[in-house]
Amino acid sequence: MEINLRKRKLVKLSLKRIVRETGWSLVIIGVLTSGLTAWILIPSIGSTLGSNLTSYANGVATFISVEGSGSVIPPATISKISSIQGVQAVYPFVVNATYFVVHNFTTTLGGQEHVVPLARFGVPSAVVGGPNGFPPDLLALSAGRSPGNEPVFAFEPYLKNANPPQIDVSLGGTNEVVIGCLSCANITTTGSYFNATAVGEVAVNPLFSDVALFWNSTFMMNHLGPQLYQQEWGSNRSNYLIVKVDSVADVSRVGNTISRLLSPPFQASYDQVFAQDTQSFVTQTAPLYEIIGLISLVAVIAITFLVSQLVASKRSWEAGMLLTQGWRWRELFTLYSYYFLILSLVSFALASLISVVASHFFTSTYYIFAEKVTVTAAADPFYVGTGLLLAALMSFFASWTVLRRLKRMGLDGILRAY
Amino acid sequence: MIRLEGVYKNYGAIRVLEGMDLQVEEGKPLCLLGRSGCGKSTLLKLLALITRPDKGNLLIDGKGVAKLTDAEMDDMRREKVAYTFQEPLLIPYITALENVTEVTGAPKDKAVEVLTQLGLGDGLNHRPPKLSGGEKKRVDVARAILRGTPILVADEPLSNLDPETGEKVMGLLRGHADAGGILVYSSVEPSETKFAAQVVNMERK
Repeated sequence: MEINLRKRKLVKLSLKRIVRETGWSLVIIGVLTSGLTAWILIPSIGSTLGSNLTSYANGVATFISVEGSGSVIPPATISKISSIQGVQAVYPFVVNATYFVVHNFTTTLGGQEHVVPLARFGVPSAVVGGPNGFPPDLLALSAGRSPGNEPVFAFEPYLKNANPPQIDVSLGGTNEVVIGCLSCANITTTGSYFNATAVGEVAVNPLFSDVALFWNSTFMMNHLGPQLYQQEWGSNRSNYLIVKVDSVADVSRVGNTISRLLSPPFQASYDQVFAQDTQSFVTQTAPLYEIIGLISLVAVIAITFLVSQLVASKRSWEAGMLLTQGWRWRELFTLYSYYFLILSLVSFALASLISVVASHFFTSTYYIFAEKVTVTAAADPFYVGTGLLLAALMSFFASWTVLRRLKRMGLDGILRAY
Repeated sequence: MIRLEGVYKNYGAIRVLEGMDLQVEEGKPLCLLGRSGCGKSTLLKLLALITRPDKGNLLIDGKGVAKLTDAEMDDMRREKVAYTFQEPLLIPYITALENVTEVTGAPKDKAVEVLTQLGLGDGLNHRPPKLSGGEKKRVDVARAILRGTPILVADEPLSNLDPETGEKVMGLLRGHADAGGILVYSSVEPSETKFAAQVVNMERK
């Protein structure tokens, strides 16, 4: 009778062994899971912390701001800056003042309390969109919505604490305001007074924090009329410039080049410390994680070898018995392959789950312009994917190791081990 | 036909077989009789192609084993020989029935028929740890019978069996020989030679 060992039958036999030898299976799954978890988790932490930091860095640290206390930046300077190697884009825009109006403001002067019938408190503001407007792509909100074509604005969170109590700068708060000149020696106002409501809170980007309040450009044009709008926010009047640099590595060089181009009152600002920190993470910390990842790979191989030796030594006679019953070595290999493959896949599923959960406990904190930025790790799809491949390779390697050991023993040797 | 020509087999310093000659023919069951340690199991392992002679030749259907590669010997074992163990080796995590069907690929109905014939009808779904020594022996024999190979080698097939069950087992084994197969079995009991057409008395070296 020709032995008919179809693959389905071998899978069924492997499953029975796994299910009915629960304790032994759990030990192997535990060992394999720890190895695969190490493989997925450790490099993932390094990789995702690195990439999150890099994307954060690309969002924050690759910007250089140029301003000179409200003075208009000469168009020729903007043109020179745009042609510096490593500059990806320049965003010139106008910053003017938005004055918060307080009626009957009480203040103390010379020890005496005075009531000022009309007080105005100015904050730097820009319009979002339109020519010479703040680039909409760079306006990140932490709450609320972007200002629309209506008397609403978005604001930097520090305004919440920095104003007199009569001013309510918080989401939903409404104030009487008026637009004015930022750089004028005396407070000059433009257009009429109007009530405006705060609808959006801007995510902290220290490099742009010189601009504290954002209007919609269409609303402002409607409110001021074309002539006044052109006068206050029009082209060739840019007094603020955001420079986007290709990469964090270019920031210092480009920043120095820009500084050399500028003369007072203009100056360039960027976070050199953060740029260097990011650089050092990429060149030092990330390779460290990669080395740990490689060590974990070696550990996985060692664990696989250990498991295969354990399986080979436990009931090796079983293989001998099957050979005497007409099994071929390659059928034995297939049986062991399915056995290890099922165990490896279960271990991989567990390792992936553990990695997804555990990675969230790994965070790194960075300080940028005294702002605390927390970056959370996550299971990297690349390492999860390679984990699956590794699980398959482990089952092949373990089966091959078991077979190699059994073949060395020879059939008679295997049966004598009983 | 099986022929042994001047076969030697040692295990380390222990000489087990020395220049043994033997011929086994189809339809003529051979019993190897002797005490423990006399070399019966070693000779049976040679006949079952589990091991090779150190010297001399073993011919199966005229084909010498000595010059076969390992793979060729595996193929010959697969095609020609079924073997039952002195201590039955059964996979502990599958049932008695599965130990026959999963291991040999025999159809389930055929396996049930043979196991029932051997008095194991009630224990088909028991796993080996729940089977007695005699029951395990019968599963092992059923497995060998269902292989359907021309040569059947059985190492003390009647040990641990009561006389009635022993008769059933030997009935099946003899049926194999009667159908033109080769049967070689071993025993320590002279009374068990009654099933054989020829007996080889073996003594400890």
